[in-house]
Amino acid sequence: MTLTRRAFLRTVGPGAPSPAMITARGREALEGEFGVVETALIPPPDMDEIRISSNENPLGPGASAIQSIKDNVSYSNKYPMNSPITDTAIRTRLATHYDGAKTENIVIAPGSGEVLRNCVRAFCGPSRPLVTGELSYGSPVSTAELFDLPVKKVPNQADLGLDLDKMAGAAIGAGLVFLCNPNNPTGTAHSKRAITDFVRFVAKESPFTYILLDEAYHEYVTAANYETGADLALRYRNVLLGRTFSKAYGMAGLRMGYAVATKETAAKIRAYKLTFGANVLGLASVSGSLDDPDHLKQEVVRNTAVRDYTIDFFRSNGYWVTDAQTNFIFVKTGMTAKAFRDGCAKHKVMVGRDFPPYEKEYARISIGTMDEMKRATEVFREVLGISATDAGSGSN
Amino acid sequence: MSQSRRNFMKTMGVGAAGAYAATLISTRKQESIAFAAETGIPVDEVINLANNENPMGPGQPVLDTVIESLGTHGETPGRYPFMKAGPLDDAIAAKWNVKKENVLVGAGSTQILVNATQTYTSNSHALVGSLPTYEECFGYAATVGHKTKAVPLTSDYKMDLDHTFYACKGAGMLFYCNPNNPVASLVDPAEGAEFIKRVLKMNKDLRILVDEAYIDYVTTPGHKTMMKEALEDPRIIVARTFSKAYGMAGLRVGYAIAHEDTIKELAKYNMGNSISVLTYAAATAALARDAKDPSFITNESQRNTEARSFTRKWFHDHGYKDTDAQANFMFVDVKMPVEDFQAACRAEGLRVGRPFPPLWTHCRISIGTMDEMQRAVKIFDKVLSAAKAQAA
Repeated sequence: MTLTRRAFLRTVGPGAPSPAMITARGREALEGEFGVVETALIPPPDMDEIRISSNENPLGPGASAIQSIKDNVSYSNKYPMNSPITDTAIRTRLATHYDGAKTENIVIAPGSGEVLRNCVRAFCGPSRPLVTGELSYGSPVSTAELFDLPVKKVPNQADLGLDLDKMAGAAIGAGLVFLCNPNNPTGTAHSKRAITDFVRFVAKESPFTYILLDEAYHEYVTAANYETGADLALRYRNVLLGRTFSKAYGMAGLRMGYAVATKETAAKIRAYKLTFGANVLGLASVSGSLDDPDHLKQEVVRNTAVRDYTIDFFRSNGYWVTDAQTNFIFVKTGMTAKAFRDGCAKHKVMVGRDFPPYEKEYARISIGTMDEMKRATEVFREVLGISATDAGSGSN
Repeated sequence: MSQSRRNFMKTMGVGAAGAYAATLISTRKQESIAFAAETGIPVDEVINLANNENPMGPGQPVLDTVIESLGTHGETPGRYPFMKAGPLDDAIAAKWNVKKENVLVGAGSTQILVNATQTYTSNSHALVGSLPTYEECFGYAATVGHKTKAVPLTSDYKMDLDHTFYACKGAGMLFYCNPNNPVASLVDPAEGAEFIKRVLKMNKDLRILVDEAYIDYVTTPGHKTMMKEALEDPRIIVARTFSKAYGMAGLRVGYAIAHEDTIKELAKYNMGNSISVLTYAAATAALARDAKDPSFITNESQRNTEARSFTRKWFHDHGYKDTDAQANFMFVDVKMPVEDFQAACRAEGLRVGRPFPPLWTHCRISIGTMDEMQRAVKIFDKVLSAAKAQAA
């Protein structure tokens, strides 16, 4: 434990609420996206909050991307189609990453969130429900509810992975299946073989059902049997791939994502696109990032090492953790997500929100830097009541 | 009135223009494709008078703030924008002396237009607007299958308030773009105020979306924002943008000012945050500058007025009729098919506005810098002289 933190824990008692801090975080903005925001303590000026609640990349997008933003800032007055790096140019460039793809197969969005929303809007209807995992990324469900569209939630498997067999059954007659792979908030990933079988089954048994394969965390996966489903999106009219620059690319704040699909299917979601959605500096940053593929590789290596460290901390202390392939993990803490979150927040460590129906015993923890996770695991130890003997060798 | 417009008005009465929206949309998509085909041309060598951009940008201090906001190591963009939204809401509220509950920020006023169309129109409650007008609302209504009624402009290219009044019977929302894009004309301030009262009295459920994207460029005495009315009456929404006088078209940010209850309804459809942290930094910095020194916008408006007057005078001197432009663009009858005019200008490295059906011989010309407009009129001279010679 650092000296600063010791001093902090001594001087500030638990539970002191801080309206100032809530305001600083933009409470309503947070609530809109993540549900109710918990109170926290006033941060001492010499100590930074560790934000491991939103699956962000703590390091940002890398030098090449930042340079590209700087080079293009003077084009802030141009609409994206008139800036030096147009959205069409980025689409063309992204198409080269996928065998057989052309510019027309890529739809740019201000974050992949728009792809998710527009798939629900384009493919679901009053008699064509959205099918999703019970414990999966919630945004498509929110969209369906906003537009009064029916939702079928399929319970997760025992290992908390999506239950592809049951989802395939539920897919018959559905408008859209949301298949988050790796899955948020569990971090679990399915093999290419399993995804391919799923797509083939649905295409055959329910040809009017679309499948959105959300690969937001694709870059972070280390499981050997995992591969992207991009080829499926280009081959099957009813499959779309969603990707984002918010995670491994470190651009959550710049709002850039995209979809890959056949020309006809891409046109269906493009109809719902916000006009000029992607901003010129986001486009510039993507361009800079694509110039530096090594940076992405380093980020994946970094995340994997910190993820291994964090998973090892929990497992060595007797806690069950999902097979997380992402920049977050999902842990059975044995206490409510709220109690764990509030406990951590008192020590300036912000972890994930409730994920019903698993909020009674599980917490989602994003992977920060190694330094941050070393501090965070000390806090976890305290909150969970793990005896503070030697780090790594304690038992529950 | 041009022959083509006469024909159009003969064949399409008020309310019949719903199907017409589809044509407008496809024309718009073609524009993007055409630009894409030109990616080989360096942006800096082309005079772009096609998209009503502010050639001056948001000012160096704002751009410096954007760069500073990247963080010491460029780490800030790694974080979601949640924490940046509050300060911009507060700055907008402070600027207009309203509560932050009266403000909704969107990814360009585009998002406000879309949200309002989604919220207040349906397959039974029509969207009403002028033909032509800015197409965002009509495009969205067509996508989601909401009813539309487009009212042709008067013979002097102004919003036809009498016909619009009738079209608003039973309608869900009137899109009131003032100054109107693409024709640059403004509703007479007194007539407009009277019309809004009258139409809201006639249709108590009607919403009016007042798009004030170009208000900073208006020079007509007596013209005022509708914000005061919007705060008092939940049925009126004012949309504003940072894309025009604030020079941030590429950063995608705008907002609505309306009654608290209306803002809540519109916010439901904002659906996730599409605004960049760098955009928040720029817009917040621009408003902080305004608060200290409001001259940025007045200077920009003055600059635009001079370049606009110069360009309009050139056309008047050469026998071309235009509308009384109140925006950072003008609308002039070039007396030749606008597609031909556009192509001929393009060949000279000058982009002008695309066709805005049904006005096939009118061109929308954005106002660039005085230097750009001086170069542009030479190209107009060449193109229009050649067309005249060919016709003779």
